[in-house]
Parts: sequence; structure tokens; C-alpha cells
Amino acid sequence: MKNLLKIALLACVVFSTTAVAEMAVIVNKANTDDIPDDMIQRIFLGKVKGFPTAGKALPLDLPKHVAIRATFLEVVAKKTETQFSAYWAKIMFTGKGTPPKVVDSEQEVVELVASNPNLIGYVDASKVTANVRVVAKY
Amino acid sequence: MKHYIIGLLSACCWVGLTQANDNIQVSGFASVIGSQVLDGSGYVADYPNLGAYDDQLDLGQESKMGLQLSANVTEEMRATMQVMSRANNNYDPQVEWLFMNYAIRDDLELQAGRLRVPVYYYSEYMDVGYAYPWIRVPADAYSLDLTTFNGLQLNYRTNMGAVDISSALFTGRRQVNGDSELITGRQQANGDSELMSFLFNAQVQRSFTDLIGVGVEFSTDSTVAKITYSQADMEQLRSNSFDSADDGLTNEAISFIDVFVKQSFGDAEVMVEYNKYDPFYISYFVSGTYQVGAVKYYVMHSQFELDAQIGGVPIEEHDTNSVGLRYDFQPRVAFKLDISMINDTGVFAVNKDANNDGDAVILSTGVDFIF
Repeated sequence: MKNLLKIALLACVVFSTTAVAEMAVIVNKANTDDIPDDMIQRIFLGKVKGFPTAGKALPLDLPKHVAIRATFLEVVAKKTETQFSAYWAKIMFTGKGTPPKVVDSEQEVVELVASNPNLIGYVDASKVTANVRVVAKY
Repeated sequence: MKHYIIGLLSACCWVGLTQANDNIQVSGFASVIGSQVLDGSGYVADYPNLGAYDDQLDLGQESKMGLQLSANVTEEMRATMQVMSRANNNYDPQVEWLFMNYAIRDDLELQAGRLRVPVYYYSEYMDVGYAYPWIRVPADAYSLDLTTFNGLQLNYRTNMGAVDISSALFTGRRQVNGDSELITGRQQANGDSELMSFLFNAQVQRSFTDLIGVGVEFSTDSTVAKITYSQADMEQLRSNSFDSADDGLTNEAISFIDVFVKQSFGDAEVMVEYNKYDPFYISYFVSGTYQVGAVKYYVMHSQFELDAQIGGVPIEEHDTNSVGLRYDFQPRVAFKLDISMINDTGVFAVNKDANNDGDAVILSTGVDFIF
């Protein structure tokens, strides 16, 4: 029984480290704010529209086929794909906001964030360059 | 027909504009719903817009489509227009929303123009089927005929720890455009008089002035709680009533209070909403959902009870028990299936059937999408 438990635990550890890539949330280097996890979630859900001191916050999203998006939905948005689009349908069709702009690739997220101090995006941690600042890793 | 062409033209213009201007967003939603009464002979499914079914499969009652155009005028200002075409309104496009948003601060925003009266939890998006689990919002509990108003709404958003708080203050008025045409049964003209006319076979025109209300919503990842209070002066002109003593012009102070709570337990979710429309009725619903993969199963019970009674029995009283499912078979597209059992216990049955008991069983299926 004890062994079975060990094997199960081991399986969990192996599964979680191999199946989930590390995700980084990035902002422009000019943005030096500390951004807590709950604020990151609120920015991506349109509930908070500005950084603590660095002005307007504009989140960037990725298309569904980019692997890291699954991690984003799970750990940042804390919603399933359906819940996420239903959530934004509600906001959008009541005129209270627009969903995050979807850009084509992680490279594009990094480039845009590097050039605009209002943007915040998420990418696979391996895609981060020296031109952006990482505010959180998951 | 003329409106239809204008609608189509505007739609084309919008598409043209989107390509030209990044500041303009076009989005939309639609539902195609077909229903059939299996037992009983009639059912009113969509009170505010009047979708009524009989024993023949009908796709021309609740099917609808909305197109929304939103333009960023300046960094703080946005203009939004939503046009809807409904099957139960001869597909005539009608402007449901037309307003400006002005961001006073990051957490404070003013909306001005034609807005949805945000009295129920789902009021502002009850036409966006994709945004909720059921085939339609609970019919007994979503029966207020006043759905839009012209006025102002102030939205404020903040948080306390893990709890998000959003509140709205709104004020305005709504007047039914004077339509002198006699309206009876299902031959309605547009406007808020439709429902009353259908139910009472009388011509009823209502206007709401000095509408003022406040709503506060608390939410976390797993819980939502919202309370809304509104009041208005209602002027009602009634003619051609069954009892001519009911005809005439009346003035009444009305108030509406609504409480909504939703709690998630992982894959399961429970929600309940209660409202009291003074001096007319109370209504409520309770629903549970359970998610298995891409399918969400639901059960729902809703109830309507008019204050006015004859011999201790409400003149109008009915409840609905529903079971159904939502299958998200593609992103942005949901298929729905629903069986509802309506039990009419009031003095006069709303759905006039052969034995006049008003009871009905109805099967509905539909597809909701957003784009």
C-alpha cells in the first residue's frame, strides 16, 4: 500500500514536470512595478485596467494552437477555454470592455512588449529575451 | 423590409470599416432555436419579446442574431451600437444598445445612451445564449417587459483581497412610442406593450420615468453574489380590456429588487435568483449544472407568482422544471437540448390550451454562437 502511494506520488511529480512547460508573464523594461499574481489575473480578465504606477495595462493573448495558452488558461485566467470565451462574450456584449488582443506568435508578444510600456503578455519561459522583464513565472 | 435593407447595408459598411480602421471592432452573436410543445397546446417561452410555441416544430420564435459595432473615439471614449434581429419580431433589426462609454478613471466609467435595464443578473446579456448554460434564461423568472432604457449608467470597479466588487448606478426613462394601432393577441407592433397585450388581450401602453437603480456584485473565482434595486414611476394606458372597468390611465410607483448567488464546486455549480416586483409579483429560479468534458448538464426550476389573488389563489402563477445539456462541440459554438415541464397553478392559465390548465411539456434544441 505504502509503495503504491509512493509510485502514485512519483507519477504525479514526473507528470507535472514533464507535461507543463514553464510560463513567463512579461512586461516592458520601463515598467518596474511589482505585479502580484491576483493583479495579473485581473488585468487579463479586464477587471483592472492599469498597472500600479506604470499607466494603462493592455494584455496580449495568443491563439488557441500555441501550447502555452493552456497553461495561461489554467494558472492565470483560472478558466476553461469555454468559460474564458463565455466570460468575454458577457463583457463585450454589455459594452464593458474588449477581450485581450490576440497576436500570432510568442515571438510577436516578446517584440511588441519590448516596444510598448503599456503591454503585458505571456510566453513559454524559453522564449523570453533580454529586451523584456519577467514579472511572474508559473 | 426597408429596415432590413438598412440593417444589411450597415452590416456591410461595418465590415468595410473594420478593414480600414483598427479602432473599430465588429462582433456578434446568434442563436437558432427550435421548439415544439409535446404535451399541452401552447407555451410562452420568451416573455419580453414574446416567443410562443404550439405543437408544431417552430424555429421562428426565439432565433435571433445581434451585430455589435464598437469604435474607439479617443483613448477614454468608445461608441457602441448593437442591432438585433429577432425571429419573433419579423426579423426587423432593432437597436438594442447605442451608447458612449467615457472612462473617467481606470476604475470608473460612464455609459450614456440606450442601455439594457440591468435588473436581473443576466439582463444585460440575456440574448447572448452562448454566455449561459440553458437554452433560454429561466422564463418564469425573467419576465419583466422593460428591457431597455435611455439614460446614464456609472460603473465602478474595485477589489478587496480576492473579492472583486463592481457596482452600477443607473438612471433614465423609457417611453413606449405612441402606437395608436389596436394591438391584440399575437399581432403586435414593436414596443413594450406586446407582452401585456398578449396576456390580457387588451391594449396596454406603458412608460417608465424617473427610473433609478443601483446594483452591486461581489465575485471570486468560485462565487458570485449580486443585489440590485431599482424604482420608477410607471404610467399605464389600458384600453379594450375584458372588463372595461380596467381601462384608463393609471400611475404607479414601482420597485424591483433582485438577488443572485452562484457558487462553483469544481465541475458542479449551483445558482439561485430571486426577485420581487412591487406591487405586482415575485419570481425566482434555482439551477444546478455539472460539467463532464465538453458537456454541461443542467436542471432548473423557476417560478412566477402574481400578488393579485382571487379566492386565495394568485391570478397568474406558474412554474417550470427543466433538464438539459450544453455541448461545446467547437470553440464559440454551443449546442443545446432542453425539456421543460410547465405547471400552471394560477386562476387563469397563461398558455391557453384545450383543457385550459395551461400545463405543457416542451422540447427545445438550439445552437448558440459568437463571432
